[in-house]
Amino acid sequence: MVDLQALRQAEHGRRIRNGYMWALFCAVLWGIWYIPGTVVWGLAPFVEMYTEVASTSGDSMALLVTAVLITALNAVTVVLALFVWNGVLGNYGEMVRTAKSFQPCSKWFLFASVFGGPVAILGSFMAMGFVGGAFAAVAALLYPVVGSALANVWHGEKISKRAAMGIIVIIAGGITIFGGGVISELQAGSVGWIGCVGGLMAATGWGIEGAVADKGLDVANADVGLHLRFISELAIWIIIALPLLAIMGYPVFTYAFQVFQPLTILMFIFAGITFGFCYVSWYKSFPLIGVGRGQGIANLYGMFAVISTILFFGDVPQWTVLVGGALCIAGSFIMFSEESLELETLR
Amino acid sequence: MTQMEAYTAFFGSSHVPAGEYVWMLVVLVIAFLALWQARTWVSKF
Repeated sequence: MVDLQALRQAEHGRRIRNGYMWALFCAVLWGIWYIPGTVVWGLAPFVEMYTEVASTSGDSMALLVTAVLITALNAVTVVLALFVWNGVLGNYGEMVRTAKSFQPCSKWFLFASVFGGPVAILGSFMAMGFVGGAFAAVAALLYPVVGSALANVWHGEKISKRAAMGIIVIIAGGITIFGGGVISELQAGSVGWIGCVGGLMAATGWGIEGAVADKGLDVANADVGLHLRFISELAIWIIIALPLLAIMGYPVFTYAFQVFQPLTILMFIFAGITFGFCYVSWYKSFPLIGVGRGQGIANLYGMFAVISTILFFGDVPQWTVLVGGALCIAGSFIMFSEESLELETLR
Repeated sequence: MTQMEAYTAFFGSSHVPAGEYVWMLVVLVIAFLALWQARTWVSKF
């Protein structure tokens, strides 16, 4: 005789394992994204663009303007990569249905695109430009705190002590990895308030995005929801951000038309695959294990980014990377080893 | 500096042989795995 209770528990265990698997896919792909995401800055036309803008408006502004163009172009290839993803899954019909249902679901993805796109990404680049790369990375690592707190207050999502401890240990690991860099950046010169605002935008933007998107994912498919979110983000960059920069006198469109060079396009294709597939994995994990756990495990991206750059760029790892990496792994095990019955109801 | 030189310069100290090509292969393998897992999940319904 089939034991229904045992079957239900087995199905529940599968759901949790799948949730962690998707969060881990997100972390790995996000980490590898740093390869094309870094290389593209060294290719034409962005080198020339940065130099031209820096000569008139300074390095920080050049970084910001170039970053907006790169992010907009990255969004184009992410949307294309997600067309492949949803095509393979046979989701085009569902996409049209979800897009038409604005009030119950697609409005949440529109809000998610605002917080995840212009707020978080722009904030991250502001932190990078006006303080430094390590500061931006550490600020971004704090987003699960915002995400899980908001999911708890707004959706009543439960976050066990064990999960909270796992998230904190992973964040501590990330901070240890980038901590040395932050200290030297802070010692290097005056910290502009605009850079701190950027850091705050990155931490809150991605946290809020997770909680907002999770609301839409109550009624929509994650693959389709994420695709609509990126189409909205692309529209924001192309219809609002780039024309605004052009009106301010920055040559964004001149350089946008110069990207059609084989290596530059190839980098954007791989950036689109890694970022698109990482983001869709992130969204897929939320309904299965909750926003807090999904974002906590996805935070391992810091460790995977460092591993990618050590392996492929030949960066020399410092002792902080090893200690931080060990903390990240310990934090993950604290979360993975949580009894699945503890997660029987996420809210 | 040509585009190709600028590109390969990033991988000059790579610990992985032919790192400038291998990372792309790694991306494709992981992306395929993710898509396959998603497809397997969908095919259950």
